[in-house]
Amino acid sequence: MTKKKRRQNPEIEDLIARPWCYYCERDFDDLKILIHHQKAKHFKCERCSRRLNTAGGLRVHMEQVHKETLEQVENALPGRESIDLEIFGTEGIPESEVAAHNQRIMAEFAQKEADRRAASGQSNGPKKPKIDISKELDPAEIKRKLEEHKKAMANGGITPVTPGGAMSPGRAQSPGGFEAHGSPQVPPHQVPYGQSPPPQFQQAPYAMPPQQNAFPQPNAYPPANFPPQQAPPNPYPAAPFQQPPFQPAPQPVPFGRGAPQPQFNGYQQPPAGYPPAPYNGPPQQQQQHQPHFQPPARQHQQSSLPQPHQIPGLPPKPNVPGLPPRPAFTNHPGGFGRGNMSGPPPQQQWNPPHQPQHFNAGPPAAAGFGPPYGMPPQGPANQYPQPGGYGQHPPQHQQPQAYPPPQEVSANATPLGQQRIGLVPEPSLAAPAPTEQPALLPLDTTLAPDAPAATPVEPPTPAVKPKREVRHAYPDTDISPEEKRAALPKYGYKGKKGRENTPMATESTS
Amino acid sequence: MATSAPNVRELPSPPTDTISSVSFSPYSSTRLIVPSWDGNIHLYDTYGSDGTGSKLAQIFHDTPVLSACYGDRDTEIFSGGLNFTVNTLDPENNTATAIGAHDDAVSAVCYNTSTRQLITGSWDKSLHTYDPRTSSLTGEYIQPEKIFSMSTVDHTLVISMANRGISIYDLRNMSEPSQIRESSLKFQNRTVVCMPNGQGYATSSIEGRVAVEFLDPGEESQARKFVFKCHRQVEGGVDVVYPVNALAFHPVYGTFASGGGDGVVSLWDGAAKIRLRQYQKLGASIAGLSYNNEGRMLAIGTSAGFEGGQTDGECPPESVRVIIREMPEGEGKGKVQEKRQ
Repeated sequence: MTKKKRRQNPEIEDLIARPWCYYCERDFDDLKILIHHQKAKHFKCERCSRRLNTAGGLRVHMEQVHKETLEQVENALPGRESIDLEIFGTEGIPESEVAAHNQRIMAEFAQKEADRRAASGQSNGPKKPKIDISKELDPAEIKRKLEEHKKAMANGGITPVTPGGAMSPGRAQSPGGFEAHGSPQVPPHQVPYGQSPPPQFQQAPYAMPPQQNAFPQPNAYPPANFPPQQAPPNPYPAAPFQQPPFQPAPQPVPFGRGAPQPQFNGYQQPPAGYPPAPYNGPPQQQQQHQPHFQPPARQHQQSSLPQPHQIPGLPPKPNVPGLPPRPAFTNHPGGFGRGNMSGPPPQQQWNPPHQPQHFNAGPPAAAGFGPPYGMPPQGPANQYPQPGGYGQHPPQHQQPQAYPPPQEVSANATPLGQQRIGLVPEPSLAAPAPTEQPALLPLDTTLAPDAPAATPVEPPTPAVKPKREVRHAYPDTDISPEEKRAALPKYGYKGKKGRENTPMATESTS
Repeated sequence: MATSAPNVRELPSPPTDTISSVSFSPYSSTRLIVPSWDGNIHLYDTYGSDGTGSKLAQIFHDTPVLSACYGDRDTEIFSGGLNFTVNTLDPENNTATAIGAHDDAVSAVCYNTSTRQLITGSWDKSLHTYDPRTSSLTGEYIQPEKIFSMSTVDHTLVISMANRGISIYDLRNMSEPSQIRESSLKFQNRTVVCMPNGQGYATSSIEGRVAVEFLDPGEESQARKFVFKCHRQVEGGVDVVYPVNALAFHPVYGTFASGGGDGVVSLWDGAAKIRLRQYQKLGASIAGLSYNNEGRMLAIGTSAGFEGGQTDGECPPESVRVIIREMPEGEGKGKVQEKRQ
């Protein structure tokens, strides 16, 4: 690929927004470059090197000029040689292909993320799985993964499912690194990164739990932790310990499936979605937990916040000091109130724990999205109990308490759970959708302006031209211009006998 | 004047009336003759001592000159015009001598180097051949229509006539046309030029079209002929179609240029069927085109008139220009054929 290294970690939105060539799956910095590429690689006449704008244009050109039949688009990937699609730039690409392409980008992005983390020695398993999950998988495949997950769970839970495949390494690393890194990393990262590191750890094992734990601890440690979010140092050690137990069950599958969507939310939501995210989160919680809400919300926010950050920011942190993440954090801290963002994060957190339950429950029928969402409630219950056990902070306690009920409720009442699911998905999905659409839409709009310019060119060749009125600059079909001119008096041309006079006459009359 | 490009210049002392044609000498790369309706044949050195070009001579006829060509050398020029006579000119002595006459205006003269004879065509529907060395008429051949244009290469003569007639002669056997064709173009013939390689010719019509055809009557060769549209432009929502007044093959590359009533000169690659270049529109109808013998200069004659859409046929002197375009290396070179099946 020819992606420029704008940053070390480009945003997924940017990657998705890049113009890409349907025929060869290459992506480009600019739509114009893409169009140039298409004209040069795919729409170029091999006979005369003329560059057409579309496959249709080329076909007509070949037929009319070379009397040959264009059968396929040159240099196209297998299965994409069709000349029936009228593709110009990124216009005209079938929806399904666009979706598949975006999935591919996201998968690639996830893989890169994973590689980078692996390279940097940090485990971000969760992110990867989330991303993978984020991809829209076939229901069948999701089911299959669920099955695998179940098996994995039965075996020991740690074995990751296919989606988790990437995860597994990360996890393995994370746990191992956890303890080891935990202490060492803490010092460097502590103050600024404090939060970030925990998230990482959490992610590896299961981000949420650690954070929650961590936070409680910070609180316990009280002073510094909360405001600066420095808590991490202390929390880390604690968190890891706590986490290990949690990790096995919740982490593997849940994230894999449920996580992906959340991640999207996380990515997209952070930027634009703060308001939406909060809404999503709170409403659900409120319905169930309203009493406890405010305090818990904050906690959630905190806990949740790290995750969103982790998702986008984590990668940077590990590699680089994590400058990018910080800003986010700083914002978040200020926004603790906003922490509502937790909406999505809670889901993520919850999901992991839930999933196991779900599997047991047998929601698999839900096919992918439904179950994960439903899962969250259960998950929280599992997780929360532990935090509660720690009983470090009142707020935390509140949260856990509050959560359990909702979860239980959801678990008990499938309808409710489904409703939640519906709610959750909507926000999560909705959030991503808007972000994606905006990104895409701009492209379209940009295309639109360009397209008109280009399209006009095409139509002439291929299409039946609208008959334009034709005027002959020299309308006489029998008399040549020279004869006409010769008839002008100033030349004194008499013509031969009477013949010239005839043209003269016609001329004068005409 | 408007020749801003460094490789384009305008010759001084242009004719004062419509240009009939422009023709480079086949023998020296800078000699150009321009017969004109002002009654003169203008002889230019297109490069001159200072690179700007200069007029060498101006040979006066009493009537408009419709056609002129070089003979065996730079100093042998033939002309024909509205006075029905066929003349041989001596630019050194600035003299014109009549060597024959038609019964009507002499519309086309051309010299065949293979047979060393002068061929003239007239609106009197006849074709004459002359032996310049004896200044004698060697043949007279009646044609079905008025002759508008002729071109010759090797032993072939292609005649373009009124009513879309095309006759092809083998100059070694003039008893009858070797081929009689109807133009591929649906409108009045305008001009014809033969390919330098002698395999075919291109004709144009008053209706913005050019046909490229091949001499070989075989099916395979005939399948290669084609017609394309050119020299049209949209003016106020109306597609205005201009006559294609001039054609000229590149002596080296075998591509050709076309000049239309719209004032545009385009370069075409007939083999690849693509347009290579289109030069900036000039102020008046293109009256003549000619490559020099090296293909490094393209002479363009412009003049207003019926061809440009004027209904009164007026030709203001300022519209009459002789422009020399220096061809950069490779310009006008056809595309290399890829993957010929």
